[in-house]
Amino acid sequence: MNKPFFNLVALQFKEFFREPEIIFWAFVLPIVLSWLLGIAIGSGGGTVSGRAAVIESSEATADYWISWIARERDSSRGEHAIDFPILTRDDAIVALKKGEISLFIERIPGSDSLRYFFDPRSGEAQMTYLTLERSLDGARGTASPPSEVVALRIQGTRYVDFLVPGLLAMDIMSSALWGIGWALIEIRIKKLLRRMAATPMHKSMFLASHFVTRLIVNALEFVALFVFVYHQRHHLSDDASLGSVLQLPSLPRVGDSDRSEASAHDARRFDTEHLQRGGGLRPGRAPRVRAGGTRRAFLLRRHEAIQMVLIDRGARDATAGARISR
Amino acid sequence: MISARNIVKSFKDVRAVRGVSLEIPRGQYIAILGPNGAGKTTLVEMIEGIQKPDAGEIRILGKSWSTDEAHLRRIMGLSLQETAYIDKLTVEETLNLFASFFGLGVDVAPRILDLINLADKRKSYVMNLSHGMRQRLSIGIALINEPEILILDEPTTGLDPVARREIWDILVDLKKKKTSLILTTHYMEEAEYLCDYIVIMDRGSVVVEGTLEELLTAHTHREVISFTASDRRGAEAFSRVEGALGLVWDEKSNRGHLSVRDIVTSLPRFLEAVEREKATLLALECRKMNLDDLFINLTGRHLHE
Ligand SMILES: Nc1ncnc2c1ncn2[C@@H]1O[C@H](COP(=O)(O)OP(=O)(O)OP(=O)(O)O)[C@@H](O)[C@H]1O
Ligand SMILES: [Mg+2]
Repeated sequence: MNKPFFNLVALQFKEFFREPEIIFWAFVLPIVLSWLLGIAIGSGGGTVSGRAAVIESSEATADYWISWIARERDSSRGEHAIDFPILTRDDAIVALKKGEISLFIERIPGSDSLRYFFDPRSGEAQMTYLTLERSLDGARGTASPPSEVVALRIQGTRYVDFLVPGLLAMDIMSSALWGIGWALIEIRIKKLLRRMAATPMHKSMFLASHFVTRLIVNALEFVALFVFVYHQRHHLSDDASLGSVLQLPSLPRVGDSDRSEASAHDARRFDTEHLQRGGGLRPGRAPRVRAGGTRRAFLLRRHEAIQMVLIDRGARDATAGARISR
Repeated sequence: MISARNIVKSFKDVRAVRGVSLEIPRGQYIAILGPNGAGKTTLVEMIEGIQKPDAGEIRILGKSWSTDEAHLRRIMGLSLQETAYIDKLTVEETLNLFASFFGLGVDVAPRILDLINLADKRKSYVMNLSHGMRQRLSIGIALINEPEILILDEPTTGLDPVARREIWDILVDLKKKKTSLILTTHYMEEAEYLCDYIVIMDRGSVVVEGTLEELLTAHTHREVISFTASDRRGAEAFSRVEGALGLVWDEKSNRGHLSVRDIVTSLPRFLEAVEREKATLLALECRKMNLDDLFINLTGRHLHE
């Protein structure tokens, strides 16, 4: 049958598919873009911005930090703001998953050394980790025991995890803007709109046909990008191993550092007991990192201000006074 | 069947149509003639219900656009000045699209394709059609619903004589079907060839209207001496030549247009005046008055300026 609605929708698809370059812009480009960005980010070449760290444990740990903050504040005359919320470990895990912090620390029970928990694929977490380690070195002196790193896997905090939904949203926006907005402008310029309006065709049907066409096109674009990302997920996520955390030269450095001597030790498993509730957090390889070397205090510029969270299993309130708000 | 009374339409800076009235009987072919900016498009688009007049009343078969739009849309076929259709649709698909707007099936397209002589191009994309073929497609779209009233806005502008003739043939055939036609054009010969009734517009008003015969007989000055001179010298003397009815002088091209009662009497007198005034003629033509000449006489301007 010769139905106007069907014809109006069909004509848009015909226009679309008879213009092969459009297929490139609508389908291939978003995929290529996400692939390229995925590579860029996966290989650790993405930008690293400092934000968020978590610190746990007993008063002793908190003490390090409190004294460190005090010194930092004095030496920088309030140039940077550091926040030390103190959370229970459960809360810290939730915060980590939400992306509010990128790392947390607890004190190894029965020892003076620290254990960092973060996802090594996150450049932000790596940066924060390094910053903290350096600062801590300055605060606690040479004889400090080595720290440990526990690698976690956190879904949805890497840049690509924001990128793909972002691309989809951008896709929908631009396809609506250009697909509907520009299409209407174009047929208006061509006086075709006038000509169509001068037939008994219903105007609402005309608009609905554009709407439905967009819906279909967006769904197709969505599926294409989704299939691609799903197919590539291992590639996108496994590229960055914990190793890159330890490849210090690839990370920004402030002041001199001989931290490159830090080395990875064999993996150890992480007790998942506390992480169960969080879901999505998976223990991964966790080489121990010996923190030694740098003695120089690490000064943060304002835009690198790090939010640090101290976790205290029992005594959240004990250190509440340590919070220095931005 | 179409009656327009005192139609007025203004835009920001121009009064495009200044009180035009028309009565068009059923089955008649009427041409609206005029130079660029005369207000032809504005007038026909008001009749087509695409634009709204500021004042005045339009009735088509006794119905008006405000109350009977749906009905009028069905009985009217139109082609706008310079509509671009969808580049990537084929001719046939374009016809089917418009047929569907009228609730018609895919069986209409072949009939229209025959009518506009585009059957061999039915699988071509619109973008690959020549200008003349596009104009024929546009007329085909106008004919899709077998309209009682057909309104074509400059269907032949910019076409070569052959392509123009093809369109004329289509329209002459249609006349047998008792379709009414309103046609706008710049070409006098088109109006003469196709139409029973001619309306000449200039600057938003009707200058003169009537059948071709009426127009030519009503204006008694029936013959024309048309000439080009090297300068304006002698223009006054020419206008006083025996039997002269009026001189229209175009300053830019130094073209003179002298209407006379009778060439046999006036031409020798005119040539004497040329001699006397020491004017130099570059071109000279004598003819029976045609619509172009009538237009020049009525408006003091050439139609194709
Ligand atoms: N939408 C508009 N906005 C402003 N002015 C307009 C508009 N449409 C037409 N005009 C003006 O109205 C006058 C008449 O225009 P119109 O298009 O009706 O002339 P026309 O006789 O169809 O000329 P042409 O032979 O060039 O098609 C012109 O001066 C034109 O500039
Ligand atoms: Mg016009």
